[in-house]
Amino acid sequence: MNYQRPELRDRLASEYVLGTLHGQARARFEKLRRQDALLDAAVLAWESRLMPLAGSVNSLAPSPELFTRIETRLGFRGKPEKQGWFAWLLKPAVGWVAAGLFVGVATTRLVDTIIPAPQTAQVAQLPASYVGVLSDPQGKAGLLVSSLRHGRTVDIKQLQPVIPPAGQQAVLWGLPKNGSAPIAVGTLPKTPTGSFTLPATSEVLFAEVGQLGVTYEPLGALPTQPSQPWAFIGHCGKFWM
Amino acid sequence: MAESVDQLLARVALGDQAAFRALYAASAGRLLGVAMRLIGDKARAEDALQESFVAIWNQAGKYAAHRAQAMTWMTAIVRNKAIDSLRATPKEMPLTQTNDDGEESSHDVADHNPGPLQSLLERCADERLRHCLGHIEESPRQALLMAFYDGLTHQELAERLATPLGTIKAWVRRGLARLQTCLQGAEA
Repeated sequence: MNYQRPELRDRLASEYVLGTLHGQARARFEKLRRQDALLDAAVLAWESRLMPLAGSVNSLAPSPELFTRIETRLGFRGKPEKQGWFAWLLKPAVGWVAAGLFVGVATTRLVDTIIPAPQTAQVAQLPASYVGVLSDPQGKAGLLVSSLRHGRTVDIKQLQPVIPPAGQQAVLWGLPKNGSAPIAVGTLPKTPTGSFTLPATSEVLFAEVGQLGVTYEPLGALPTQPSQPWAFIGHCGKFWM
Repeated sequence: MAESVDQLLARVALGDQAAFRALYAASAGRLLGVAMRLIGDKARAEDALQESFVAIWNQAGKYAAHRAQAMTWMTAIVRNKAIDSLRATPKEMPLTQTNDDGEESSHDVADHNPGPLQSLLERCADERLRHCLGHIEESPRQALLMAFYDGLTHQELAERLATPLGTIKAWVRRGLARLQTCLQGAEA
């Protein structure tokens, strides 16, 4: 079968979502779907169309032990939470970079004092980077931003969901220390962790930047100045001695 | 204020176990109802729900990328797990079966009273979907609803509705195409 024909792809996607494909056809379709983004998109569109039908089915209370079974299956029981240390570390979000740098310096000095030099070298391994922790308007930690000092990639980790309204994108800005207009750096990836490429090296872009901010802007080319209020903003620090 | 299912799933995508617990509390009853409707056996429906929540935890990051409605995304996962279970062990005997001696025996046609399916459609909260399905002729509509709510294949629909397989395939195909045209017209 020629799966490149749009009408065939759409028909197969609709029947897959409805559930009428039999065993082999269903398995074959699932394999194809994993390799084909257009087929996957057709499935998602049909799921949006048909799944509201399921809303009229009567609810049924699960057995009390079912969630315990799920947690056991996922290895949650008896193990620390996936992001436990991270949540703990980030509670006092505002000013965290400063605190982190302070702790880094203090720890290194303490280690210098009590541990002989050869081991100290193994402790201070973090490469020179620009680091930012951005908070939402309520002061809650929102994003971690980091980039190697001479690299051209920015790594992002969401600490809370970053969801631009429909038709908009989340744009990262550098705010120069001298108070001049913010500079658009790039569009954030949609995934909880991800990265994007910079138009120049970090050193060029961030050396004179004191803060980083994110605004939600209309999709399309990067704007020359923010048109919306800050969704996230925070200090940008140089993570080297 | 309680967080919406969308907000909870977005936090699950970041590896938040507390949000996962809250998401389960907010949605497991509805999702188990969906699995139970398809499978018809609570223990097996719970197995399918367990597999679904394992997948929800593991794939929540992928969900965040395509931004479907959380309940739509989770319902689709549950239906897929339930259909897999149903295909592995059908809930009812087929209309005819052949035993080890090659003898063919037949079973009564399963009850397919349209009443309950029609009432499920009438309770559907999505007005556009209800309207568009309502405009499809009765037989194709019946086939679509039986496929969706009972998880039947073309062959099983043909047996239940005592209708040739080719006719069933044409009903399903035409029904889905009309539904799409109607829904897209409503979107325009």
